[in-house]
Amino acid sequence: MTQPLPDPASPTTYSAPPIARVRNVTKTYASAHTSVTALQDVDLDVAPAQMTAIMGPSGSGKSTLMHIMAGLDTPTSGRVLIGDREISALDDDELTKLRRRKIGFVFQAFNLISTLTVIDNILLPFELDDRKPTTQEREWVDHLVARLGIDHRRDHRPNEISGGQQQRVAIARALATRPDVLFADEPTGNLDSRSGREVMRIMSEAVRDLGQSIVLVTHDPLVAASAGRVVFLADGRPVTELAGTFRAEEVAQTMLDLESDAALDSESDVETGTAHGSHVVTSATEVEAP
Amino acid sequence: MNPIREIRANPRQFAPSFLVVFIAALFGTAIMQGIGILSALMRSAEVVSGSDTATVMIMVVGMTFFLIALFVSSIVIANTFSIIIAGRSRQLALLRLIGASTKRLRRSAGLEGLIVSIPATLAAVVVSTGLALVTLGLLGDAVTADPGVGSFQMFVPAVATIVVTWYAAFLGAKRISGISPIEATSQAVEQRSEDARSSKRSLGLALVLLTLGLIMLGGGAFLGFALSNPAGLLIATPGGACSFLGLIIGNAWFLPPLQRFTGAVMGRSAATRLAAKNIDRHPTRSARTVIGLIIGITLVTMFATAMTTFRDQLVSYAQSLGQEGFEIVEDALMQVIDRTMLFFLGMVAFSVIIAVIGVVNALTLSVRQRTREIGLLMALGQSPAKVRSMVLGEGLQLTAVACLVAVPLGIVYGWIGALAVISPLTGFFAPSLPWWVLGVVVLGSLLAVALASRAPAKAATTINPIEALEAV
Ligand SMILES: Nc1ncnc2c1ncn2[C@@H]1O[C@H](COP(=O)(O)OP(=O)(O)O)[C@@H](O)[C@H]1O
Ligand SMILES: [Mg+2]
Repeated sequence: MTQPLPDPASPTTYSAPPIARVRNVTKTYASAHTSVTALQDVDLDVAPAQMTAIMGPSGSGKSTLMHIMAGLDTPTSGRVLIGDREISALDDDELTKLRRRKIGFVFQAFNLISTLTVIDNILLPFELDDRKPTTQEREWVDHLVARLGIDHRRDHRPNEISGGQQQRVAIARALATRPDVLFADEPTGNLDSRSGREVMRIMSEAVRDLGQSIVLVTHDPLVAASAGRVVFLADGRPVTELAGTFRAEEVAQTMLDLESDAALDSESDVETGTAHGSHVVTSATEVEAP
Repeated sequence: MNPIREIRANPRQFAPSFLVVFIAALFGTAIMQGIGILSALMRSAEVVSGSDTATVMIMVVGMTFFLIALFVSSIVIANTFSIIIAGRSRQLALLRLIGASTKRLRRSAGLEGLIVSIPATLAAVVVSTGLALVTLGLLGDAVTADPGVGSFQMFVPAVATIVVTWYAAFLGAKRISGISPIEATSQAVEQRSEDARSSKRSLGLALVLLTLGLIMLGGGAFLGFALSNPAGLLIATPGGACSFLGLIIGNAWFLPPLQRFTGAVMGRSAATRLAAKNIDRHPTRSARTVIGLIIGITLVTMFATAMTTFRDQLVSYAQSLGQEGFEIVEDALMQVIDRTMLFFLGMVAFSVIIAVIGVVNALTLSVRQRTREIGLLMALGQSPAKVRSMVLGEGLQLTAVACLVAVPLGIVYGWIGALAVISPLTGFFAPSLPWWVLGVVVLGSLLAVALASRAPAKAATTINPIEALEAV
């Protein structure tokens, strides 16, 4: 259904076709006075049945990349494919359906509907699809719930369980429909290290035992070390990557190098007065009415 | 999502909507049943001549006031739902993210309105029918004809209330279409302000209606006092309705500046300024909250001014004729006019009550949505008393804006109405102001809002700063 794609300049070759493909994607946020280039001509292939970690200094475009791959945001230019469907061409209805059936999400916080119980949150994707889970799917959910250790919390509400448990519920919900790919943006960012490790163990198991494809943004070299591949972003571009077997120390060192580069960069920014993509994200989204 | 679940999870935020629907449906059903009893009474007493026209007249007047009350209710309901939706925007964004379509989310919000309205309307029908039966019992043998208290048409207003509530909830949920799934990914807890969706088109329509209405109003009055043509009222009435509708449609454009002005005038204390800022943060929401009250107070002022002016002019006209023995007729006339005025005021009172509930409801909901922010204020050392006076100040400022617009407007409408009717006899005259009515309606609504905002104010200060600042 799509034209043959050029091979990306990627050091690794895969036997199976990639689960997600990003081609020449550029994303620019323009406002009245400034324009920020969050992604610059990015090419990336995500291998199936693998965990791909994305790392990079703050503001390097990790979240933007995730949003664009998941069809939450549209690129300024370039193409994005999930499987062999070009999602940059889908309309809102089709994207909604795609999110419901093919894609799972986990974020740093606020993943759950506060008025729903744990189990209702997990079953929500089926409800949104206007159907009851089949017996098989029900068994799968039960299995997930038991495996994630939230069985005894089924009928609790999100505010009655710990942050680590909330994230596990979010993962269960994201995996309930067996999505083609799971996107996780700093899923352990709000957790203490023990809960964080627990959450990561569960994700690694999903890759190993179920062949789940996962794309994960993290700041933690230990977390990244459990991935099959780490892609490093800086200033809106993939700059380097680690694949195969590597240790957390290597990840940490690469990050350090990138961050000191970034620091040098911003110093020279001050001198030359040029604008770069690495701005602090302003969180106030309040838009005053005219 | 699932409407029943949403209501069960947070039933209290629907209580005011329930009350508003109840009052509107009660009002409508009571009018129908009251008229049924009245005409049965007339038929039993064999007052055949004229009874039919009288019944039809009362029916038309009663239904007009019911429609006004229903209109105010629909504004209150739509506002309530839009505030509830704004408070849920993160959750809705998450649902969009997981794959719910906007159409579906909006439909289920509308269903919440339907689900709230059905028991409220049923309760109203039961209460009204109970009252009707008690009345019939008291009248006893005086009513021999069938009043048809349980007949089908008695329940038309109730059904209308349900349909209107359903639709108003759906309209209030319009904002859902603007929620993008990406909002769920943001770390910011701050909730986006409702954008002023009032389009340029609504401004255009408002201006056209306003201009047209003002021309007709002026023309009607002029026809009356300059050309002594009694047809003036026929032009002035639709003119008044037209211009008022223009103001209502354009509320998002002209009320916010006024709100800002009132806020600036109200005082410089920290609490007042915070209150003014809270109002200004959601200018269109505040405008929508105020417009219901404006409708009610304008109508009260209009009827009172028109009737008072009419009465005074009639009396002075009669005196100017200088006829003997007129005092007796004069007294009777004044009584009739005053009673008619009271009857009208009683009818409009329902709309005012509904609008006051709307103001308090908007306050309550917005306090609940600001839990985190108020918690932060208190953690930073804002005293509970100050927080309370902030909430109170917000309610009073909104009510003050309503009075500021509605009282002059009502006086002008009432005055023009009186001019159109009676100036062919008397020539031009100034309006007589119905002071006690103005006092009661202005002080009454301020007092009602002040009293009723004690609950949200108290809720605001029981917020535990530590819990408020914890992320859920
Ligand atoms: N909605 C937005 N509007 C404007 N600029 C944005 C927006 N979202 C992100 N950016 C900018 O894009 C760049 C990349 O942001 P992001 O992808 O969130 O980085 P990361 O997740 O790596 O910290 C940053 O400079 C940020 O300021
Ligand atoms: Mg990020």
